[in-house]
Amino acid sequence: MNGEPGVDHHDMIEQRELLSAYLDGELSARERQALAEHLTSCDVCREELDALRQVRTLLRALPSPALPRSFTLPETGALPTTTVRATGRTRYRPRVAHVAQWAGGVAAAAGFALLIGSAMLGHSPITAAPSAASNAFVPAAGAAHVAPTGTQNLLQHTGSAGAAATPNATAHLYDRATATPVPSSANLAAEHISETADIGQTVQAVLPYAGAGLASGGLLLLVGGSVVARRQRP
Amino acid sequence: MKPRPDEATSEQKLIERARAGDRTAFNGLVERYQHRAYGLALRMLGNPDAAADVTQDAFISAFRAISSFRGSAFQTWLFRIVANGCYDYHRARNRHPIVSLDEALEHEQTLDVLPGQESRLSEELVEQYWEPERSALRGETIALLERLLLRLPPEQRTAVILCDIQGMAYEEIAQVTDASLGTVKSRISRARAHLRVLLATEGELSGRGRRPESEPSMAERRNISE
Repeated sequence: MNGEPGVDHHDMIEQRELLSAYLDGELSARERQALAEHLTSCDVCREELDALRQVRTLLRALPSPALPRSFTLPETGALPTTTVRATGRTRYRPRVAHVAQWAGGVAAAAGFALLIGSAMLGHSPITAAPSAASNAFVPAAGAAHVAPTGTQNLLQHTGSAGAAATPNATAHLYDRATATPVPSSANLAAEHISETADIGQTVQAVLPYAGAGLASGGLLLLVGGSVVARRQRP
Repeated sequence: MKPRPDEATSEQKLIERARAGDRTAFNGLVERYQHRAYGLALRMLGNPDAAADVTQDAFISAFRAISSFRGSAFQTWLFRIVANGCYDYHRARNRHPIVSLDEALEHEQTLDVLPGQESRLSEELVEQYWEPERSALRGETIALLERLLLRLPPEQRTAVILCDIQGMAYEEIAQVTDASLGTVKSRISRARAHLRVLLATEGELSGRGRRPESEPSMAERRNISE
């Protein structure tokens, strides 16, 4: 195989980088000179350069997409809020990414626990104090591993979300473009539940109850929360 | 890609006024860059609605943060916000981009195409991509390239889009992506090599006068010599 001394074709990856940068005019004058000379006698590199050039030509020929609408800001008044998706921030604080993956199962489990708990309570008198109501959920089936504090905090948040008990109140928790529940309450649940021990065991214990996953889990959390909130009113 | 001198001065004025809170002035900047910003987001995400959201958010964020923009190129600064918005979009949607899979694939693929083996795309294959007289790409080719771009790992995709579609220099790309020059060079090179392999294996268009090919059978008919 032809090859100038000093050009190691076994390190084609690096050679390719040189050729690619050469195409973009990003080599120093000296590098460019050396490579141009090498190319006069190296078929392999010439072929590689041609292949890279083909791809580059195709990409550069892509037409720019039509603008779907204007993105100018309103001249007066409040600026639109940025969407959750774009900023990556939810109402409830960061650390979302690393819990998000398993939050689905846990959230769904918590959601089921709430429903089961409320069903068990039936019409038994519930005092106005949120804590009493939340403690009542502790012995709910399948929720044995869920700490009272976790559930309580969860209920307080979903309670406040459900206090208005209208679709609008909970709407902000939904990703408005895709209408799937933003994992914000689920992540909150996950964050608080994660404060308990044996999270791995919890996940495994409740996975059979996990059901359809994050969407239904989030929905159930909200439904359960708003149900409890209603009952708390005198 | 750099503004002409007269444009640069007027752009400077717009930026000054925007810094003082003048939204109309800022909208002048929006009008100047929105097409490119949207194009970047769309090529990165492949989803027009998401791209529109990211673009809108980027301009909102840019307006809010305009006081921290210092000199140099507005486009570079803006594109960085757009690119970050695209990454955030993936994270917020729990889309851990198939980075691990794709990186493994990319590593394999670039090693597969060794010197001495077929490295060019056949003339025949490339011909079909163009309208007569190479005046423009065929619609199918555009769709194909858009699809294949999304198969690249995000960092490679971003780098090659900024280079070949937005026409940016490596140094600018380095600033937009907060990476070193060497990393930018490497990503662009790998992206091109990766795309070439994808085109060779899956780049046969259906309307070549032969019977229509469905995607799976196109993939089966690999004609890479190794």
